[in-house]
Amino acid sequence: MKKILFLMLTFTILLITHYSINVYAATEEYTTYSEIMMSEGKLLMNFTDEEMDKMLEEIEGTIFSGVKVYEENSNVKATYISNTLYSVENKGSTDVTYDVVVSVETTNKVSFSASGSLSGNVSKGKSGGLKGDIGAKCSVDYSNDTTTSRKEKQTMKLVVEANSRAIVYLTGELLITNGVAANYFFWIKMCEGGFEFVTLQNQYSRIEKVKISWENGWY
Amino acid sequence: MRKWLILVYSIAFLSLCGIIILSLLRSSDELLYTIPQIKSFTNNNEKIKLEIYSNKPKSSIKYVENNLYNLILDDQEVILNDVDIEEIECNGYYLYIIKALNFNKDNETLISKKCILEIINQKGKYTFNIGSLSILSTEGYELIGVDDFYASYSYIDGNLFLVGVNIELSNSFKTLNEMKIGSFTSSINSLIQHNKKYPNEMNIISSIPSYNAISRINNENVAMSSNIMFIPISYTYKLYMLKEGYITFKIDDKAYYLDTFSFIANELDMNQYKTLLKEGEYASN
Repeated sequence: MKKILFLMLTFTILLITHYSINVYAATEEYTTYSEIMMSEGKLLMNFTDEEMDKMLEEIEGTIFSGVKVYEENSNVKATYISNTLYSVENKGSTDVTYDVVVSVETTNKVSFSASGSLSGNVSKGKSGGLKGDIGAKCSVDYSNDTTTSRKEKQTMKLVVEANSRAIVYLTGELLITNGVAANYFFWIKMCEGGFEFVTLQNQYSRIEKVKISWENGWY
Repeated sequence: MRKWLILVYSIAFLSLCGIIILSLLRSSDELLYTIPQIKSFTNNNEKIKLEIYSNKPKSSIKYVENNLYNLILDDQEVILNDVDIEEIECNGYYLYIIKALNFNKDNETLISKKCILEIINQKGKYTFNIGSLSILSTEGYELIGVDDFYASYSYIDGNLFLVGVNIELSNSFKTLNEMKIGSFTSSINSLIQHNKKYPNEMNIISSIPSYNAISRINNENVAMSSNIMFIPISYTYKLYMLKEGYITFKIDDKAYYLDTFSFIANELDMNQYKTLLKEGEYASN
C-alpha cells in the first residue's frame, strides 16, 4: 500500500512540475528578424490554432515513454533580412564621410523555439534533453555544443551622399524544420506543442542607400 | 598451469593499462588549425583579426602573457605587441580570435602572399598558415559612394567561395579599368554583367559558364553602360576563403576604395570547411 501511495505521490509531483511551467513561449534570435521568406510552408508563429490542432491529431495515441513528433516542414530553405545594424541620414546638401561602427551579433548556429506546454519543458533544460530528442527525430543536430552568440564591433568609413540614408544589415540562408511534438512518461502525456528548428547557414552583410524625398515624408 | 594463467592475465592486464594510458595521452593532444584566407584591411582599421581553431578549450596559445606572437610576411617579420584573444566554444571545437591592435602604426601599404603566424613560448613554437595579407594605406584613394553593395558566393569543389560583388555606384562613370578585393584578386572585366545582381549564394558556372576562379587576368577597360553591375572576381594567387576585405577600383584612371567590409559576418564553421583546414606545426625547444 505504501509503495502504491509513493508511486502516486511521485506521479503527482511530476505532473505538477511539468504542467506548472507552460505559459511562455521560448524566443530565439531569429524571431526578431525583420523578414523571413520560406521557399514553402510557414513559420511556427504563423500557424493558426486550427492548423495546430490538425497537426496535433497526427501524434494522437500514447506511447510508454519518449517523444512523438510530426514534421510539417522539414529542412525548408529560407532567406532572411535582419534588423538594421546601422543607419545614418545625410540631410545636408554635400556628401559626408561617416565613421560607421557596426555591431554585428553572430547568433546560435541552430535556434529552437516551442509553443504550448512543450515550451515550458524545453526551456528548463539546456540544448540537449527534450530539444535534443526532438532534433534527433527530425535529423537536426541540436547538441549541447552549439555556437553561442557574440558581438563584434566593425568600423568602416562610408561616404553618404547629400539627401541620402545609408543602412547596413545582414541577410542569409536558413533551413527551417517545424511541426508538433508530445512527450510521454509511463503512457502519460507530459507536454505537447509546436516546435521549430532554425539552422543558420551564413550571415552576409549588405550596404544600401536610398534618396530621402519630400514625398516619403522623412523630413 | 596456474602460473601460466597468472602470466596470461598479467600480460592482458598490462596491455589494457597500456592501451588506456595511450588513449588518454592521445586525447590530451591538442590539434590546432587555420583556414587560410585572403585577408585585407585598410589603415583605417584599428585591428587585424586572425582565427585559429582547436579541438581543446583553454589552449596555451590564448595566454598572451606567456606567448610571443610574430607575423612573417614573406621575408618581413612583424612582432605583434598589442594582442587580445577571444575564445569561443563552437560546434564541438574552440575558435580563438586573435586581434592585433595598432598593427600598422606606420600606415604603410603591406602586401604579403604568404602570411605565417608564429606563436612562441618557453616550451616551443607553433607555426600557422594564415593565407595572404594586405594592408592598404588609403592616401591617394578617394572613397567611392555605393547605393547597394554585397557579395555573391558559390560552391567550388564543395566549399563556398566569393565569386563576385554586386554593386550599384552612387555616381555615373565612363570606364572601369579594374576592381580588386585586397591584393590577390582581380575583377574579370570581360565577364562583367551590367544591370544585373545575383543573390548572396549563386551557382556561378550555370550563370557564367566561362567563369574561372583561378586565373591571371589581363584586364581590358570596360565601358560602364550602367552603374549597376555584377563584377566577377578571380583569384590571382591561390583560391583562398575570402570573408572580409577592402575593395579598390580604378575608374576613369582614378583610384577609389571602399573600406574594409565583412562580406560574411559570422565566423567560419570549421566543420563546414574541413577540406580547407591547415594544421598548425609545432616544434618543441
